Amino acid sequence: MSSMDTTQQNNPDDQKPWHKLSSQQLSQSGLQISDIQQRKIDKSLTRLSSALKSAGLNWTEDPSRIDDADTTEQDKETFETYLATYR
Amino acid sequence: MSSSLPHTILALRSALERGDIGLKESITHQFERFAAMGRRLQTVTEYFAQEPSNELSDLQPLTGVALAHKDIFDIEDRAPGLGRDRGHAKPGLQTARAIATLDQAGALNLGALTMAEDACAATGQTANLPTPLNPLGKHLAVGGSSSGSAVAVAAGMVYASLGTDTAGSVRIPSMTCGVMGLKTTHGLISTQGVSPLSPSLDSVGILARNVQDLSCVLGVLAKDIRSKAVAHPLRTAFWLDGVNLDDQIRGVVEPVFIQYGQNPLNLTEHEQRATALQQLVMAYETGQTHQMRIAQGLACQQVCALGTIGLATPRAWFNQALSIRQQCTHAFIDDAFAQADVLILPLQVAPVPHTDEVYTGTSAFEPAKLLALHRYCGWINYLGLPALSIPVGRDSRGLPVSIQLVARPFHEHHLFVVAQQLQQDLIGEDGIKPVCQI
Repeated sequence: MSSMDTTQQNNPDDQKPWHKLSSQQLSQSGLQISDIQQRKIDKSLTRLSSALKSAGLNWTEDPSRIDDADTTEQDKETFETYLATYR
Repeated sequence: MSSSLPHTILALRSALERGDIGLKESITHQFERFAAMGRRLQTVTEYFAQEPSNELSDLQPLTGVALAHKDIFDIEDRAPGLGRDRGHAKPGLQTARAIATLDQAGALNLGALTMAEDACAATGQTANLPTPLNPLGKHLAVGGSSSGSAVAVAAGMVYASLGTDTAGSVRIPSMTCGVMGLKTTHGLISTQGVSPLSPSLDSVGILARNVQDLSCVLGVLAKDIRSKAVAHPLRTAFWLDGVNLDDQIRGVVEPVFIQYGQNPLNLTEHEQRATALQQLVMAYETGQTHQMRIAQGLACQQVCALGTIGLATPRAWFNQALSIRQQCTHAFIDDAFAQADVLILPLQVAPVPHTDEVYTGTSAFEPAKLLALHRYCGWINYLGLPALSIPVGRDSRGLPVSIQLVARPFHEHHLFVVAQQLQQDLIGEDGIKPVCQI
């Protein structure tokens, strides 16, 4: 095992429930990410997750528990329709 | 505008109607000034030739009015430079809908204005183009990303300018240059022909020196908003409790908040939640928008940093952030607008910084000062609301101190009523004049 691997093993963010999903997405995107970059990304996502959690939103802890149906286009439309009620 | 031209769009129109100034003379004068100041302030990426005409038979709302816009809008046969370069010819490209609407109303589009690369930075610092200079003092930072727009308006090069605002990109440069910036309700002004950063958050905005010019330009872009009457005295509320401001800024804005905001509110929970959700959405969509450029190593540093985080952000988080957006906005409107029509909210956290404090790679760079520039901006974009940044006083160095006004969706006309009062009482129609000319 290389020293890099050891560092990765010690990265507490590796243990986050979302880490595997996040890494999968990154590799699918075709980006070449170094270990240092990966740790920076993990830290950013941990900070974001904490900010959402302290704002009362706990759903970042385990993304697999969120309904993964892609309704983003519908949600965008619904939001714009909602805003338009004030027009 | 310059000393020999009327200061507001309406005054120019009146002068043209009365024949105090000829249309051709006005256009020539405005373009010459634009070209001279543009070179000095490094704020124009391309000048668009004008053909001065004496034809005044069909006076449109913006006939002969000098405008120029952020280099993010498509122009006929020209692709925008996006802060990466000076743009390039693209035969067949149509002019962005917002710009075309202004053109049809008689406005002059004098040129494309410099901007932070890909609209993804809180300052106007650029890698491949000259960084624009702040007309208030060349050592002062220019906020981004609509940096060239703020400089051109503050220097009197144009009456108004269109920019875009995803997380403060109209309000931040307005704040650093002492002008007004209107981030419109999400969806009010078409983004067709505008290069996206984060489509769920992007809004076209307007920068101008006074409320009258903001209102004139918005009136052309969104006629129904301008024609709405304000039927009752507007109620106001303010939020300062728990807000973290530099003492000097607090000393300027607190009396304004208390005098003009009738009811104190505490919006901390809403702000924290919407800020986190905005960061998530912006990172994710920046990643999607610029995935190819990031993968090919072509994206600028800011897009690369933010977009890579976005590409790693679980899609389920993004889905969730969008699915609860209406609920968050509704809860906010219920709480904040229950007894108010316009909210008076913090915008500027610290005095306008020096370039070397917030431009990366400089000697005194302080990340905290860079972050402070957009501290209270992004949450408003997540909620989709209109916001108007306005200077309300000066700090001990004579530099502008700004706040933001926020209204219900599509209630920009309410913002104008309160802003007009603040302008009249605190800064005057001329706005904050440059204290040290470049």
